[in-house]
This record gives sequence, structure tokens and C-alpha cells, in this order.
Amino acid sequence: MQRDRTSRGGSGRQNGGITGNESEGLYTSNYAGSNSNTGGSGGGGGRVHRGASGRGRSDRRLGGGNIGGGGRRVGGLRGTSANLPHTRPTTGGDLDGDLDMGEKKKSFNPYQRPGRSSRTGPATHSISTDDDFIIFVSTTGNNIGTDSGLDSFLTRKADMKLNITNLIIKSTGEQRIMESSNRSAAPRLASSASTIDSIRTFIRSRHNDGFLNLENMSADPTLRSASIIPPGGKASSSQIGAVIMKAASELFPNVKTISLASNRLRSMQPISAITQFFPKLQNLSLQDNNITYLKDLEYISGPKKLTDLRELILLGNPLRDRAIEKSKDDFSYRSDVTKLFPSLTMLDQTPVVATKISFGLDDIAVVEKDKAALPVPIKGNFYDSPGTQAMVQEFLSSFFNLYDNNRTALEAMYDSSATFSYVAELSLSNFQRLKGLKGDRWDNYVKGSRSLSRVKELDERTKRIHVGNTAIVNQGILTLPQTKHHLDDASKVCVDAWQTGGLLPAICIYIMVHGEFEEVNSSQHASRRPIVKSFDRSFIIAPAPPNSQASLHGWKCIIISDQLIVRHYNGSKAWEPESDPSAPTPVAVGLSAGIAPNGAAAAAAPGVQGVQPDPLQTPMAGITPDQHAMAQELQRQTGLNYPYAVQCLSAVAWDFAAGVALVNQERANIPADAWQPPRF
Amino acid sequence: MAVALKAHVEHSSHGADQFVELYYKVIDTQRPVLNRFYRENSAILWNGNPYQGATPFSEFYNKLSASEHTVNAYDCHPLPTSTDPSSPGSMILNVVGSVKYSNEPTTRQFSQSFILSPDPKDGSFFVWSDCFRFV
Repeated sequence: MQRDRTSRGGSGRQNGGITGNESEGLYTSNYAGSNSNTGGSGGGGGRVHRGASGRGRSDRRLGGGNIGGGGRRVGGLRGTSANLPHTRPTTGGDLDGDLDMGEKKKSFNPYQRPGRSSRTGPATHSISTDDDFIIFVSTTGNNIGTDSGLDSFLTRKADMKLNITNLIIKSTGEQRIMESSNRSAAPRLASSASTIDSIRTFIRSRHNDGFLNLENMSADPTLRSASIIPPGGKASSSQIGAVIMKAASELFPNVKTISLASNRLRSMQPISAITQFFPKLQNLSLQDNNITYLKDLEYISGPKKLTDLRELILLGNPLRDRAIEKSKDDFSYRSDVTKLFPSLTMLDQTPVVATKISFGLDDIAVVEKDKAALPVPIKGNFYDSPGTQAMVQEFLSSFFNLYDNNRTALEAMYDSSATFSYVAELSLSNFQRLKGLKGDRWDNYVKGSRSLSRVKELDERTKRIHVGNTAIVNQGILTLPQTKHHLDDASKVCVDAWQTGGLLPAICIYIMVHGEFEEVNSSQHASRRPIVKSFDRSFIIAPAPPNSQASLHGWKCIIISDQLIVRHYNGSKAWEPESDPSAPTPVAVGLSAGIAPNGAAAAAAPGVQGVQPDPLQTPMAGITPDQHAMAQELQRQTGLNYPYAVQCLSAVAWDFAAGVALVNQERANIPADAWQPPRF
Repeated sequence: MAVALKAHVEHSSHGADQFVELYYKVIDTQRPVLNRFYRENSAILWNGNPYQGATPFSEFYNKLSASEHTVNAYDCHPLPTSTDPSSPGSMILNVVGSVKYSNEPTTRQFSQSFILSPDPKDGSFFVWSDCFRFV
């Protein structure tokens, strides 16, 4: 009979459209009354024109038009001449009693606002009120959506309010029945167990005391006998998941645990309605499905979705199995999944270690005051003591000399557990753009750049930090382009450095360097101008242990941490000291200028200079002023805080040299709280 | 060993993510609360001006004009703690970006380097030291 135009939309795949079809494809709706709200005048058991009451009445079909989104031609609901149904409405209307949608070439959007209807011609029907109608609609392509979407769609097309009391949607290979949104209207078409009843029966059979077990739905006898293909099944409708979830939430709204195991689910889209109908869900099993990528979980994760989810099971999914096979542990997998579901306390039946870090801040109202932008002037290089300055200048000279000329030799300068990483930061200020910097080459930096704002996956973050002197030099530093640093020009470098106090096992010096370097690379000669880049580099250095590679090379320090950020060249004006007559500004000294005048102090103790003792420190009870001074000197040379300095000297009967020796000897055993915090 | 590294990376980078987001939000919109990130012995250096502890520093930043920070990139390294090497410890966190003060016409680039340490009471990170420079 009808050539099934609608098969175009389907082409063997159930796309959820409502299709007209040989023996099925009836879409009937009882149209009761108009211009009435739901539950209005015509509602209820009004006269029903039972032109086509059920399935299988093949002479009642309407020829297929396409209703769908996205660029399809909107075929009218008007049947083509070959497909006119034979029934006539009781009143009015045009020849075949359908709604004239007109043939349109524009793409049709069922959610268009009234007034932008795609109809062009005047309605060729007039449907008076108080009559019931059965409306046949046949569509292909994207389905219209929910039943309420269908309501409004038809309402718009009919140009009047429809009170739809019952919808039966059928399509190829499956029957789907959705309840109309007007539930107060009673009459159902008389038929044997409708699909929604089957679904309800099915749900009831799977519910037990707050637990809804929706596992292996494709083998379920209730669903099978009703020919309902569950979500995840081949040729299932895209709406079946939502229908099931909605029905389940109506029947058992307090369900806190749902299992969707063994449903061949890949993406969560088919069951995404779970977030809408069970927003307080606490336990979810997706065991033995086909979830392969983190992205597959996105339909049920995110802000405002399943915010109470405590327990999740993803065992038996490729996502988990492949991640574990790849990294030989489940660490990254667990990290990535718990990031998607921050409320989880149990994943795959293993507790989730809470890593939520809070700062305990309350929200306080914004207080904005307009003050002078810079309340203090910009000052130049900062060192917390001359000893620090000497040590740091010597270190930086040696380091950059090797970095420019002999990188392999750097291996001895890093600790065996040192860390190194680099970031290429490529945003340009307007000024930089004007200077034509956009064309600089950055390939060698970008590949391994560890900008945590961009690199989010744990595995990558771990890969891009290099640990240990060998890895740092071979996998990190040697892969970066050759450089030339000019540290002798003091204005082009800015250094801030101080001792870290008691934070780390030894007294370390923290250094922050800002400057620039030239890239030395034959392939870049073509540009004719040397390529200069700006950088910020932090170091944490510690005294070189005796007999270490570093001290054998005559270096006093080894590197614990080295973090480099390379940016487009931005000059050095930003740290140019502003003149401030009140403050005695330390003069910027170029790094090759050698030891500062107080260098003698540095020679007094091996290793790193001690911290500055507090000049206001009150002497401890029971010690003499001389002893107090000795304790403070011991502090200066070793970094102990005052109480421990006193304790140490007491232990050696106030023999200063013995005290120093004792500290150096016992350094590894000295507790963290014995050390002075950094003092400027 | 590899798992220990990953655990440290996870803890420190996760902490860095949260700290960066929160710190710049607070400094831009809730400046009075900023001192909660610092402690009495925090060492702060602002363009070469040193401040010892949260209180002197808050006197300073209360005079600083309202700010709007944009973070372009950040990176962090876990640092070995003095006690238990396997438990999550401190970290060094470097940030680069731009900042606009409300009564300056131009935006400035900045580089800020933190050493963060976990508060033994609740595991949240506080600032052990903070080095801020315009670059």
C-alpha cells in the first residue's frame, strides 16, 4: 500500500521516530474539546470517535510526512494522495480531516514559538469545539520528545488548545505507550495490557525495599512478552529509559539504590533520566556494562546530578579494566572517577579516601575600597641575609653556566629524589602581540609543558614531572632547546631568596629567579633576530651532603626542586626598583659579581648559612647573657630555633664548636619543630 | 614507588587546583578573608617588600586596591616532609597570570610562588611562604 517513505528515517535503525508503517504506525489521540485547559470541558469520557482503536488496522494510516528537526523538509501531516485514510471526521475539516501543515522547505522545529509557525497557508480545516477527534500522525526522523512536547506540538499545529487524554504511540517493531500529561482524563482505549502497564509490572517485580534491581533487563520475561526493548538493547527507543525511570519514580519514589548491571550500556544517555527522577540516589551499580570512556559517564555526572551518590560500582566495564591494564594499578582510574562524582565514599566496593581539602572559609560580603594601587614601592632583589645572598649568587652562576654549556654535568647538581617540571605559558598581552612575538616557535616546550590549568589527567600530570637527577637531565632538561642566559646584566635579572626555615628536613634556600634567555638553535637563524624568551624559575636547594657527587664537584648545594615557567619575552621593567627615599634599597648586584662583602660569614660554617635569630628574643631563664649570645650565634649558623639552640649548647656544656658539630652530625635526627621558621 | 609518586602528585596537584581557584577568588572578591590562608609565621614577599606573618601582611593588602586576577598557568611539586615521606606533605606552587588593579589603567603580568603546607588540624593548605612579583 503505502510506500513506506518513512523507512528513510529509520534505515534499519530504530531512531525513536514515530513511523508510519504497514501494519502499525498508528498514532492516535483522542481529541476532546478545545480551548479548554486540561481537565476542562471535554475531558473525561466524552464521545470518542473510534475510527481506529488499536493496532493493526492498516486502513487507517496516514501517509508519512517527516516531522523532525534539523533541516528536513517538513512534510505536512496531510496525507499524500495515495494515502488518504478513509475515515471522515464528524464535522468540518478538510477532506481527510487532518491538519494541514503545509509543505515546507525550512527545517522544522517542534519547539518553535507560536507565531513562528512554519505553516504558510491558512488552515484548511476548521475544527469546531466539543468534538472528539482522532488524529493520526506519522513521522520519521527525530522524535518529538516527551508526550508533553507532543501536546504542545499538536496544539500549535492545531492552532488551538488540545486536551489530549490518551496517547498511543506505535512505531516499527515496537509499541510505545506514553501517558498523556492530562491524567485526569480517564478513558483508556480498551485494549489488553498496555505497554505502560507492562513497565509498571516489570518495575514492581524488580523492587524490594528501597532497592530497584534493573539488571539484565533484556532477559526480563515481563518486558519480553510486551516486546519492550530496554535501554542499552539493540533497537531500543531513546525514550524507554526515561519512561522506565519516570514510572519507577512514581511507584517507588524513595528508592535509594538502583542496579543497572548487565545491560550492555555504553553511554549513560539512555538512562540519563535517572538524574531527574532519582536525584537523591545514593547507590548505583553499573557493573558489567560496556562503559568504555570517562565521557560515557558524563550524562549522569556533573553539577546538580546525583549529588548524594555514595556508592558506585563500575566493575566489569572496559573503562576500568583497560585503565588498570594500562597503568598496572587502579589509581588513576579511581582518581578520575571520584573527580566526576565528588560525593562518592565507595567505588567498586572499596572506600574512597577523602581528599577534599577545605580552607574553612565563610562567605563574607565583598568590601571594595579604592586605594592607591601600590601601597609600597617595588623593590629589587631580596635576600634574607648576606650569607644567603652569597650562596645563591654562587649557585645561580654555576647552574646557568652548566645549563647553557654542559647540561649533562647538571646531573650531579640534582638530588636523587629531586623534582623538575616546566610550563610553556603562551598567552600574549596586547603589547606583546604588537611586538610581533606571535610567531615564535614553542614546539619543544609545549609537548612536555605541565600547566596544571590545562593538563588535568593524573597520568599526564605524573608523566610530566621528572623525578631524580638522571630522569631530570635526560628526560627533561636535555629535551629543551639550547639557551644562553646573560646574568651579568643586573637589570635583566630579579632574584628573591630566603631560607625555608624548618619546613624541610634540612635548612634549604628557596630561590625565585625572573629573567630572560636567548634561544640558540640553528633552525631559528632564519628569523635573523635572536629569539628571546622570559622565564620564572623557582629552586629549592639544600646543603650538599658530604661525599655526594655535588660536593665532589665542589658545589655547596644540591637541587631539591626546580620549576621553570617560560613565557613570551616581556622585558624587565616590571621589577625595576621604584625610587623610595625612605628605604635603603639593597643595590642590585649582578650574579657574576661574586661574593658580597659579608662573604666571610659564609665561610664560618659548612653548608648553608643559618637563619637570623630574633633580636627581640628574651633570654631563657637561667642562662647568662654570654650563653644567650652564644645560643643566638648557634642559631645563625645552624638554623635551630632558640629553645633548641639552648638545649643543644647545654648538652655540650656551652662549647660552641662542639655545639655546631653536634648539630651537623645529628641533623637528620633533629625534629621538624626544632627549626626556625623563615625570618626576613 | 611509582604509586607513591602518583599519590603525591595527585594530592599536591589536586590541592593546587583547589588552592588556585579559591585563593584568587578570595583575593579578588573577599579580600578581608585572605588572612585565613596565612599563619603567624608565614613569610611573604611582595615585589621585594617582606612581611612576616598574616597580621603585617593584612595591613598591607588592605591598602592594596581592588584586584582582578587572571591565572594563565600554574604548576606544583610535592615536597618531602620532615617526618613521614609517604604521607602527603607540603608543596611548592608557581602561578603566572595577569592582574588589574581597579585604579590603574593597565593590566600587569605577575608571577607568584607559594610554598604550601598542610594544617595538621584539617588538612587544608596554608601558606608557608609567598613570593609575588610583577614580571
